[in-house]
Parts: sequence; C-alpha cells; structure tokens
Amino acid sequence: MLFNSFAFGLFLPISLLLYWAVGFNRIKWQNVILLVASYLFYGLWDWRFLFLIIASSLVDYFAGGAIGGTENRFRQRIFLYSSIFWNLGVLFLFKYYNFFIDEFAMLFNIQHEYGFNSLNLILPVGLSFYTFQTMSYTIDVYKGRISHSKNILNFLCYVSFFPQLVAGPIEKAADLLPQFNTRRRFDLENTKNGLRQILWGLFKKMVIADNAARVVNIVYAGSENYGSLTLVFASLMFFFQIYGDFSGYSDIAIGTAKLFGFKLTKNFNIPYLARSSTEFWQRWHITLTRWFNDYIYFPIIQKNIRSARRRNYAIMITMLLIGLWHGANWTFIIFGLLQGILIILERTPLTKDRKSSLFHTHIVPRPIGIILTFVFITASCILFRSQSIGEAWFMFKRIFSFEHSPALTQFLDKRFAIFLLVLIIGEILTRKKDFPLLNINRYISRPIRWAIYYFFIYIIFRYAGPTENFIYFQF
Amino acid sequence: MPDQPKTSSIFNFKASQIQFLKLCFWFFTPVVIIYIILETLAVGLPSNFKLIGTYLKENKDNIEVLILGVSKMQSAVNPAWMDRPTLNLASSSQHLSDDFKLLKGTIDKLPKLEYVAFEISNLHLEIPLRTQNYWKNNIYLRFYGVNAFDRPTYFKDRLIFLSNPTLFFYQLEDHYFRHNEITEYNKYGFDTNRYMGYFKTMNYDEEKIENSNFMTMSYEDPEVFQENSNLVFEMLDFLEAHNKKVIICTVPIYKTNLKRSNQKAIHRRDSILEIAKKRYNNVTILSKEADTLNYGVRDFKDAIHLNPDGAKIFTAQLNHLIDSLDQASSKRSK
Repeated sequence: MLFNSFAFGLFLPISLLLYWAVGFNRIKWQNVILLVASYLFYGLWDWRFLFLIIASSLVDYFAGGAIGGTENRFRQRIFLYSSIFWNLGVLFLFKYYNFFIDEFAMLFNIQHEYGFNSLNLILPVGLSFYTFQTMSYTIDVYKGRISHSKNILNFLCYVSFFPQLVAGPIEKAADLLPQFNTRRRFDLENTKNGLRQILWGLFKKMVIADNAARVVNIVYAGSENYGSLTLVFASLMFFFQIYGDFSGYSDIAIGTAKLFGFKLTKNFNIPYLARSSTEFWQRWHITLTRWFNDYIYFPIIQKNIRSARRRNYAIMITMLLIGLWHGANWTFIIFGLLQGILIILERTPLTKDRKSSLFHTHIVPRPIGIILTFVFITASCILFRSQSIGEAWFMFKRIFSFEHSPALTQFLDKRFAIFLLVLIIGEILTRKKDFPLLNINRYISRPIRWAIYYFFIYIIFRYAGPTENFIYFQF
Repeated sequence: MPDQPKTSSIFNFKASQIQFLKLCFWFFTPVVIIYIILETLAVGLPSNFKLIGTYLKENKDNIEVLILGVSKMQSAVNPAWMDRPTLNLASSSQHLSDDFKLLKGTIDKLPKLEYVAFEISNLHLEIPLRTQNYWKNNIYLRFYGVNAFDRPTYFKDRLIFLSNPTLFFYQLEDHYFRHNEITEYNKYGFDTNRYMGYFKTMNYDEEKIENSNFMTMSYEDPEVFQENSNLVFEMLDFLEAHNKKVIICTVPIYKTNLKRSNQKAIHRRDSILEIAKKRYNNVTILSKEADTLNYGVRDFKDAIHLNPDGAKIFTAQLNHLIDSLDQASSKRSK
C-alpha cells in the first residue's frame, strides 16, 4: 500500500479512528490495533513477506530476551551473534546472494562447471530497514544500553510499525520501543502538525519527485540521444527526484506517526545546503548515517580514537557499507567509495593540528562549499541512477563530450521550476523547523491557513507527475 | 488528563479529539464535494472512450472486426469506412498486454467477431510491461466493462477522475475554460479532425521536416523484446483457440522517421512477424510501415501518426485485405 494511494486514504482514517476509539488506558488494545494495521499494510504488498518479518521479529525478541536473561558474557555473545547471523543471512540471501554469486562465477568463469545459479527471489519491501532496526535492538541489549523487551506484542509493534516500516526512518530501539510501553497522549496541535507534515510530504513526492522522474526516465532511457547539458539537467533532476521522493516519504511517515501519538526521528535536514560531503551525510538519511556511526564507525575507531589511519579505515568501511546497503550493484559500491574518499580528504588535517582539516576550519566560504558539495553529490547521483558501471561511465563520457543539447528546451518547464522554488525557498526560510508548515497556526489565521492547505491539495491533484514507486522501497 | 471520560465503553473520545474530528469534517467536506463535482464533470466530458463504449454496448451483436494497438493504429483505422462493423479499441500508450486484456474481456461479448487486427510497430516489442496500475484500467472498466486490473475490482476502480487527476483537470480546463478542443469524434470514437500536428505546423514542407530535429525513439531492450514476443505468441494461441482470423499490422511511418528508427529493433520485430506467419494459419501480415508509394507527407499528422486522409488509405487497405481473405476462405470452403 503506497502512502499516495486511495487505499491508504481509507486505511489511515479507519485505523486511526479505531486506535483512538479504544481509549487511552488500553495501551494493549491500541498496540493490537497497530500491529494488525501494520501487518495488513505490509501484507497487502505480498502476504508472503509477513512470514519473514514475523520470523525476524521473533528471532530478535528471543535473542534479546536470552541476552538480557543471562549474566554470562560468553552466552550473551552467542545469542548476539546468532541474531546478527540470522539478520545478515536473510539480508544476504534476499538482497546480495545473486549479486555475489554472479560476480564470483564471472570472476572465476565457473558458472557452468559448478552450477552456480542465481535464485529467483523477490526482495521483500523494506527488508533493509526493518532488519537494521531489529539488529540495533539486540546489539543495544548486549551493550547494556537498553533492557530487553518483556512484552512480545510491543516488540512486534516496534519492528512492524507501519508508518516507518518500508522506508524508515530507521528507529533505534531505545527511541521507539519505549513509546509502545507508555500511554499515548492525544495532542491536538501535534495531530494537526502531523496532517500538515503529511501534506508537505505528498507535495514533495507527487509534485516534485514524480515530475522530476518524468524527465529523468526519458533521458536515462535514451542517453545516447541527448547532449551534455540535457544529461546534466537530468542528473540535477534526479537529485531532486530522489530528495523529493525519500524526504517526502519520511515526512509522510513522521506525520502519520504523529497522528498515532508517536515521535519519529527527523530523517532529512535540507541536504542541498551541506557545505561538505561529511555534512551532507549528517543531513541526508540521518537515521541511516546514525545507525552506521553507532554500530560500525564508532566501534572501529574507539580502540584508538587518535589514529588517523584507523579513522580513515573506519570512514571507508562505513561509506562502503552505506553504498552497499542501497543495493547489490557495483554502482552503489563505487558511490560509497567515492563518498568515503571525499570525506577522508575533507577530514585530513592540513597541518599538525588535528582540527586543521577542511571540514573543521571552513576555509572554503559557505556558498562555494555548498555549490561544490552539490555538484559532487549530483554527479555521484549518476552512479545511483545508472543500472551499471558501464551506463554511468557512458553518461560521464557523454557529459564531457560537450555535445550540443537541442532537446533541452523540451524538458524545461516553468511551472515545475516554480514548484521547485516553493520547495527550496520554503525549506530555507523555515530551516530551523522540522518542515515548513510546522505550527503555521501560530502566525497565520485559520481562513488563510485553510486556503494554503486547499491550494496544496489542488496543486497535488492538478500537477502531480505520473505515479512512481517510492525509490527507497527497493532498498 | 482531566477531560478523559471514565467509561469502559469504546468510542470514549475526549474533547480535543471530538474537536479534531469536527475540524476534519469541516475541512474535508468541501474536498469531497468538489471531488464529486469533478468526477461528474469528468464522466460527462466528450471522450472517444465513452463513444466507443456506447458503440460497443449498442452493436456488440454485430461487430465483426476488432482493432487493437497504440495511437498509430487508433489514428489509422476509421470504422466508419470499414465494410464490416468494426470496433477500434486502439489508444495511445496501450501496451500489448493491455491489448490482450481488452481482447480477453471483449471476445465473449462479440458473438460475430471474425477478425482481430492488432499492431506490432517498429518498437512495439521493446516497450516494457507496466509495473504500476495503468490509469486506463479505470476507463476500460467504466466504459467497456473490461476488468484489466488482474484482480477483483472495487468501487474506486470505477472512478474516472481519480484514475488520472492531472489529465482530467487539464481536459476539464480545456473544455470549460479554454475552449480550444479541436477534436471531432464520430460515433465510433474516431477523431475526424486529427490534422493538427507537427507536419501541419511545418506546412507539410518535406525539406523542413527532413531537417527538423524531432524525437525518434531508438530505445531497445532485448530482454523486454523476449517477454513481449512471448506475449504475442500467447495472444496468437488464444486467438487460434477461439478460431479468429488475425491481421498483424504495421502502420505507415514517415520516411524520415523510419530511416532514423532503431534498425536492430525492426529486424527483431520482423523475425517475429515471419515466425507468426509460418506458425499460424490464421495469421496475415499487413505491412505498411515502409509504404511510401501510397502515403505522402500530407497523409501524416506527425512522423508516426496518420491524419484522417492517411487513415482513409490505410482503412481501405485493411478492407481490401479482409475482402481477399474472405474470398480465399470461401474458395477453400467450396
């Protein structure tokens, strides 16, 4: 069920009404409703996916319980490794097996001799998201950061909470799980803000991302027919497509969670204003970066926090894994490596002073830093969009062929430019807020406010691009 | 929480929730009312789908020829000029799989159906299957009574405006505010005024057209080709099992565009046509893609679509082929 579908438009109010109708003292019933709603939401994609999410939830619930239930460090480690083995095994099987087996067979040219065959498996929607979420639980229980969950219903809700189930934000157990244990407050202002955030998210997804996708899909389908400027323009559009798509999804998810009295973590913070690659990753898919920081980067550097070599190694491993997280393709691996290299360069001290790096000193003026970062990110997005290294390489070669671009004018759309400006100016002017429409009631009267909402609804209906799947579902 | 009622019944909303529900009611009521108005207006818009649907309903017992394909075929066959009662269900961006669904959904409704003509144009087999719901599925259901969803249908599947709000908003604005519609549909849903296009803008100047930089689709995908070819054979098996005569058409393309087309894709397509002709006795090919003798620049609306003048020629050619097939089969039966 897509957030921008008619079905979700019915599903949300019905589940919301039932959820609040059972009353505030009935946390258990509210959680039952949430769990049923979440499994329905997920099962409507493909009911077979439910087996996997339930199995993953149960494995981690019992592993967490076993870790919390013993003081023996060795046994705790066994349970932790079992949980990690299961989670990474499932992820590997569904997401990476075919890639690695194909590459391995091709590398040694042994496909026919040993019968190395790809598996015909569908990648369950949102697998990477909920797998990382459940892994964070067992690791945190093992590290003693949280105590293990004693309530299986609440734990199942934590793993499958439908607003953020299929494309995040990736919530750490310490942040989300306790919210299922406590009584929820219906806060009228918070609920209204939830609806406003959903509206803003729909605008980003349906007007910005889907219209940008129209250009991107046409140009990328026949890149050999287009000149350099058109390809640059399509790559720029792809940045806004993926940003509108994913941050729009996150806004809808966070807004929906608010309606149920939950607070999810902010996932985007105007990434196109980042002045360095390091800062970009602090603004883009924040919850994923935080996950990799907590469970990969910091554990590597903590043994010797002052070692530059160890830090660089940690950065490369982290960014490589972030790249690989996005998909089983060399394009994502190279994407991660490039990001890692740039972050290392930014963080390498220019003098003996550890804090003399470009990242710390801000020698480059902010506007130039923003432009350079944006150019780098947009360029690396070509890797993100291309199906293969060959396709990406062809795009780069074609861009630098400086071929004339007569077709560019057919893709320039004044109306879309205005919508893009609304997005950018709106976000920049309200950059201290979570989203531009937050608490709009504090400074705009109701009639004008409602006129703005109706206007956005009109824009969404009138100018939405052709429906595109949320890009991050595939991850 | 002072305003929380101490009752064990469900639906014990507190005051702030009641207030929220009221706000939602007042906010969304105009949205729903406006939607109902828009839906009503969208259904009332003059459209070829509606006319085709009405024609299908009224003449289903007489129709003998069914036309399927994309906009090329839609603009190439005017049922008014056909000798036999003909239904043209071709429409823009209609994938072969959509054609097949329409065929399966209508074949039992048309007792006299004898010929099915569908299009396999130069790049037809390179276009991937749709992974998303196609907005025209709502149209097919509403006007033709054909379920192309591959699942049971619900109330929302019959809503026209919701199927493609952007398009219908545009059409409503065109119809009620801009008044710049130039379509003139006949009762078969064929646009008899479909002249306005790139070639008319160029004043049918062949030199200008030759030198202009119009888009030529050169997209190719051998994997997609394989899938679509399987679909063609599935469709032909189905038609053979239903004892229908099949005419696979390639519609004229303007010479400049044909030259620029992806030749590999055309060769691949031709190989499928060859196999189909050899494998199935009921299949005939009407290949007019490269016909530069009968079609001049003034018969085209743009590089790939015929205008009504071109349609007159193509429809006559189709008629002629059907006549000759009839004669051949009557000779065989004697």
